[in-house]
Amino acid sequence: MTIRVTLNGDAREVEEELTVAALLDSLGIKAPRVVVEHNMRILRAEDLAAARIADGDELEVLQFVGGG
Amino acid sequence: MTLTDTATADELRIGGAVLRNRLIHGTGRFPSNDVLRQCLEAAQPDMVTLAIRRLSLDGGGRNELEGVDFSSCTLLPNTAGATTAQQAIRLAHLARAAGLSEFIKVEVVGDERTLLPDPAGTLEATRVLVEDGFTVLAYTSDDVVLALRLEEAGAAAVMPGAAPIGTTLGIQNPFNVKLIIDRLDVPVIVDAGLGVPSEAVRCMEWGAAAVLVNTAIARARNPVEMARAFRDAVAAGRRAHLAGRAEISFEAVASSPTAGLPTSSS
Repeated sequence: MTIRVTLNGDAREVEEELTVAALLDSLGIKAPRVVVEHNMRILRAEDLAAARIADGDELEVLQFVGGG
Repeated sequence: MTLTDTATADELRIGGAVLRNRLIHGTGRFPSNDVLRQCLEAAQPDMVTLAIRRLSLDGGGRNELEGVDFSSCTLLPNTAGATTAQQAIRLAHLARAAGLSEFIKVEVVGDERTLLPDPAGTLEATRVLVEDGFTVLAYTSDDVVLALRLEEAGAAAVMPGAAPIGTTLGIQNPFNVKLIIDRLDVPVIVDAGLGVPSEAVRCMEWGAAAVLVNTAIARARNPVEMARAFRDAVAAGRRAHLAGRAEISFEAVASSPTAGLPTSSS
């Protein structure tokens, strides 16, 4: 079974019962200083493995970029 | 009389950060990460600005700042892109979570064409983020009273713009910038719109605590040399400020002794 989530503004289908940590892992994301917002709530790094993704969830994965 | 080298032990303290170098270096709009890296080596900043944006999810999430070392700098994330206080507050919390830094440059744009800051939104975001424990550096216009209100709201530093962001037009309202420097007790950092090092020197001579430069370096023909030039300019301006300018006289005063001239025989 898959569920639909919005990831960085794009609709995606992911496996149900997935955690945020597992999702990042499946996307190959290991970049330093990534920050994740799950339904507008910021996840601390230590909470990524416990955060379970449900149908309709919104996720933002952000990083530092150049700026002034 | 012994005249000490005042600039050697001179430090700027903002929150928990200690800046020996009063050039705050932007990191946007550089031609490449390699050029940015060389600029940072040339300018040796103690504080750099960053923005926070979505990670590109293709190919494992490329680190946009790959190869650039910020380990010797205090990171100053900004809230660029925010057009409301709420958006700025959200970005600030994300930046804190991402970087473990309590510093935030509050930037709330009120007009997309000029990118001039929204006074009400900037003040509101500053109040809330100070309450949330951030060290707030507030980017603002050259309005003197707004600068005072930001100081009252708890901003650790106030950052009036010299000209609209990215224009390199230089200091458009020197009188107001000077008034802000004179009226505020917190450090005043001139931010945005500077074009050439002489403008940075002027700001520092007037007593600005620091300047923030991005586009003027990033878009110079030789960014690395321009980074070096701004570093030297900021240091020179600061040293001149500490030295204290000579008094202005509207009557000419000879620099050479008037006595002791040999008399003419004719």
